[in-house]
Amino acid sequence: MTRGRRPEPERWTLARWSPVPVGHNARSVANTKRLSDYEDERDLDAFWEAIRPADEPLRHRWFLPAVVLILAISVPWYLPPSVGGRLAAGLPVWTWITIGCGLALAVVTAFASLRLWRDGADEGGDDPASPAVSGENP
Amino acid sequence: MNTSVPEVTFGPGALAVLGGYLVVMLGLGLLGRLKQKERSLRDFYLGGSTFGFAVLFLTLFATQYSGNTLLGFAGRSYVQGATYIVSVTFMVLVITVFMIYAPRLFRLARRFGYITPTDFVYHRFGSHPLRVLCVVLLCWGLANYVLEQLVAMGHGVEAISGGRMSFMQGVLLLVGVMLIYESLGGMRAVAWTDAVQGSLLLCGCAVILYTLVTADGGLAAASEGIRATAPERLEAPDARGLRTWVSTLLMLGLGVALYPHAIQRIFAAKGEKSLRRSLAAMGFMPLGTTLLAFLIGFIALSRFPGLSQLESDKVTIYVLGGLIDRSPVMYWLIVMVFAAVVAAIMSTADSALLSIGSMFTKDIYKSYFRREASAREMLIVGKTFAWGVMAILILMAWVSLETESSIWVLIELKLEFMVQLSPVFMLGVYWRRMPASAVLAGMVLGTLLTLVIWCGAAVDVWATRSPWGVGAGVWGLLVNYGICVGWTVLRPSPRRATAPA
Repeated sequence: MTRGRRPEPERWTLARWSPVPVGHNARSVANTKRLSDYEDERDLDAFWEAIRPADEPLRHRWFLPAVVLILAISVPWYLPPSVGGRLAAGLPVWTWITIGCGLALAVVTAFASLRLWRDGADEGGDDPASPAVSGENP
Repeated sequence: MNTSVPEVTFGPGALAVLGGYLVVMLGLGLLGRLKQKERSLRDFYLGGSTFGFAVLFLTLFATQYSGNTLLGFAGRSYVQGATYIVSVTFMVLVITVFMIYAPRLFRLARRFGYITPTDFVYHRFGSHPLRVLCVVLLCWGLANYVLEQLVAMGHGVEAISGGRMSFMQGVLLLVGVMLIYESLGGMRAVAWTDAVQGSLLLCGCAVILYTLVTADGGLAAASEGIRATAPERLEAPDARGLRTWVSTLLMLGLGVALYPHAIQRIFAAKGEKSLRRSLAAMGFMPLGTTLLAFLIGFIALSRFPGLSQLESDKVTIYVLGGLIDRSPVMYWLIVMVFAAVVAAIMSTADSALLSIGSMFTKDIYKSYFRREASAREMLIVGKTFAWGVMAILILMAWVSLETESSIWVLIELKLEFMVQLSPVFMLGVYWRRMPASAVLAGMVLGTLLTLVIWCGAAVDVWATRSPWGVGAGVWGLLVNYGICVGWTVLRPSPRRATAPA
């Protein structure tokens, strides 16, 4: 009578507790892809087709130059440092120029947001998610 | 060293207000949980993309304006003087920068169901190293951002409790409440609490502005005080100061526009109209909040000259503390303002933490560790990771308290790295020809250059981390953009390279 071999006691290994396949365990787990193996989930033609809204601020030629001009004026490069001695309403006069430019930039930005950007889809009208790319509930 | 800073002595009533506020936050967290439509990442991390104008605007506002705005910016204004008026311009510029890429990113997010900013990165470039690097840089920046909020939380509660609660007790109390409502209701709870916090912040800012302009001779008296003690702080910048000004505009204007939690609010919008109106309104907010922080620092400079770098972070508390004994009405108004400061801190920290959890779960855990993970499992992993990150950050906040670290140093550390993602979004949505290799090379070298300049200054190899007055991160960004553009233009076009001779 041959005595059957006693099963080896399970050994504790790091691989057993690791969420990623480690060492020889890597072969026994379904997820054996390397990083570079994940080449799915991308359709670049669909990507570039979907990316263009009906209208956007950068399509208007004046938008970027206007922003750059306001920013250029907001930086007091054209004033000597000593101008700080002159006050208006409790602040140095030159700071009011920067505050004014901040206001002008806000107006241009608000105009761009409200008038120069048109997505083409109604409020809540689009399907909000495509599971293909979100990877959710595949 | 000036020793005449006022002691802030709130009574038990202020603690009761704080307690009531925290109970409301927990209630909103519970409500967010009850309103959950499904156990999905989209519902938890983006509130099911259902936010209309009011909630979206208030959550954007409360998230964008943090404890750092009211404490850190005021401290910086105190240290730097009138030239910190640049803060108003760069905070408006952040919204202007959104105008460049948000219209396209919003369309993509709706069409393809993005949850994290790095969903876009992988979809556009298809590069795993690039996606991982982006997650690392964004999480690095966000973790620093949360850390900065924790430091502000400690100072805020210490002040509002009149010293009855210590710095660390304050941190633990607020973090505990924040983690509970965030884990319960996810983005929906965060956005609703943001709406309350944003409203409180708006009212608080209006009160401070009115008080500052009317009390003790207002700005005119402050300017005269500065003229007598530190007239150079009123001067316009010199040549080096101008370069620093432009560098600050670039780094903060481009960097803050890349905050992942702000980008996720673009994804969370109910529709284009809500988003457009919210961003239009956000453009004007710096004129009330950032300008206010600047004025607080400016007035503190005249009243409490000679504060140390660490003490400069508390000038908001000192300035307001000097007003609470004027009248009972003023006392309660200042209590409300302090509640608003705490609200601003919590609303920013909770959003950043949620964003960290979403990126780890979606872009790392799901993509590389457990492709088959269910939505429920990912939610559990995301929450656990966020709690773990928070535990580490609390420890770091305690260390920062012991080592006199200033809030401003932390801000620079986060943005210096985060801004390196700028070409990914700014060029990535327009330039189809730009390959992943160019973006990756630009980001790696830009980040390395930033690190080298930063570390060299830290170990005294060179004197400054802003050579020629330009910040390390901006040098890195210039190299980054140069490589992206140069690599893309100079590389042979794929069609020509594969064509037969």
